[in-house]
Amino acid sequence: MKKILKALALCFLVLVGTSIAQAKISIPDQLPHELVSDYAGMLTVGQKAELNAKLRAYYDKTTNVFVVVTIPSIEETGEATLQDWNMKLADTWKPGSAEKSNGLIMTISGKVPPFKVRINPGRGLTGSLTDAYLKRMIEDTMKPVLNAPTNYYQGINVAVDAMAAQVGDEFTHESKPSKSLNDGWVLLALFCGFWLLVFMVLGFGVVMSKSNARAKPSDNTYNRTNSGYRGQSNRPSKSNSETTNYVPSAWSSNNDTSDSGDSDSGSSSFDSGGGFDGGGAGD
Amino acid sequence: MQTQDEKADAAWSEVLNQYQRRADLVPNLVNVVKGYASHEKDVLTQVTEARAKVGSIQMTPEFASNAQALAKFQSAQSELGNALSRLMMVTENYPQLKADGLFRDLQAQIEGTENRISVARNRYIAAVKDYNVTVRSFPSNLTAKVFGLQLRPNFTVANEQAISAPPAVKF
Repeated sequence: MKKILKALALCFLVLVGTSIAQAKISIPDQLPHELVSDYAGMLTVGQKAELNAKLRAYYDKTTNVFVVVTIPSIEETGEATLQDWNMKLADTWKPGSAEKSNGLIMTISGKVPPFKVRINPGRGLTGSLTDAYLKRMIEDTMKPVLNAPTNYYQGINVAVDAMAAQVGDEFTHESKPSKSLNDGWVLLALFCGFWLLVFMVLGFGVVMSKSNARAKPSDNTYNRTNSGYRGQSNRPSKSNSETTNYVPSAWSSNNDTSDSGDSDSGSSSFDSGGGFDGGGAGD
Repeated sequence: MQTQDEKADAAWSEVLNQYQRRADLVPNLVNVVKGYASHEKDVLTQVTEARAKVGSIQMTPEFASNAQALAKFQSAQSELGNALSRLMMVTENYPQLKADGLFRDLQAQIEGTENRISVARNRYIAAVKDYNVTVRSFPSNLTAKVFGLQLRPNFTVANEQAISAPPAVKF
């Protein structure tokens, strides 16, 4: 009995040992809530939080989703090249909205300089972040900072700032639902306010003419409010949703007023990667 | 099955799109290289001719359903791809050219386009595979016969590997 146990224990150890030796970086199935994934362990907790906050604020302002990933080396990902790795992330996480394809994946590989960088933008962003621009930005702006001693975090920051500046306000406020109505109280106040208006207009109409059956403008405003309200209520609250808010393709089909039925087939375009066509620049 | 056919069509036009993008970059590239390496006539001529050949093939949607036309298209594109990689190899010998801003940009664009072509082809191959599997398997093959939907030819990957091996550069 003891021998069998020993043999089993040995087998178990061997299995565990080999699996650790060939540890492949496993990525979550969905875009993580934190836009920074530090598999290389190169960022401190504070830096990671700061960068996360920055990327999140950027998303709030522009709806563009910049994802930053660090890996210790390309071998540990199980992919052949950084391009393959980035496309794998793009196909799995699909950052950016389905309509705008405004996601971007930036991967920095390595634990000591010189680091390798690869940036793949979605179709929506590739117009402003062209391959040529990204290559220039990586070589001239990002790498000099990134490869300087202990400036890894700064290198990432510099790149994010440069890209944000380059994209400008291409997507800001385009089809983003108004944020101010997220607050329940404001919603309630508006709702009551509209009812008040309805009664006021109704009363006014009755007073003004008793025989004329005028089309009540209040009906239209009621409908407009109603659809707007419906749209807002389906939107998951930002603070406590388990899955990320950065996968708008999943929930934009809910609050999209156009009610198209093809939302689950990755929209009308064939590409499954949330609009990533494989372009980009880097190593 | 119809959706898969549509998907394959969309994938095909994406492939055409990216190949066109590459072809459009070539004239600029040739001009920049000429400015620094004008006596590399062989390589430059090859690229220009390959590009002209690609440009002469009329790319219509029906192309994708004709196996012969697809093979012809594929070989013309590989020729251009090879000529381009030969050109890029030659430019390694010209540091001034490599430092030129416009050349750097074009190089980045060509690399990016090659990546896009690769991704587009893979997606097309996958889409056609899905479609062909459906058309061939029972019972959907009966439906296929009723509607006259046929198997679509696919990019031949085996061929690609043989053709895309870069030739040895002799000095």
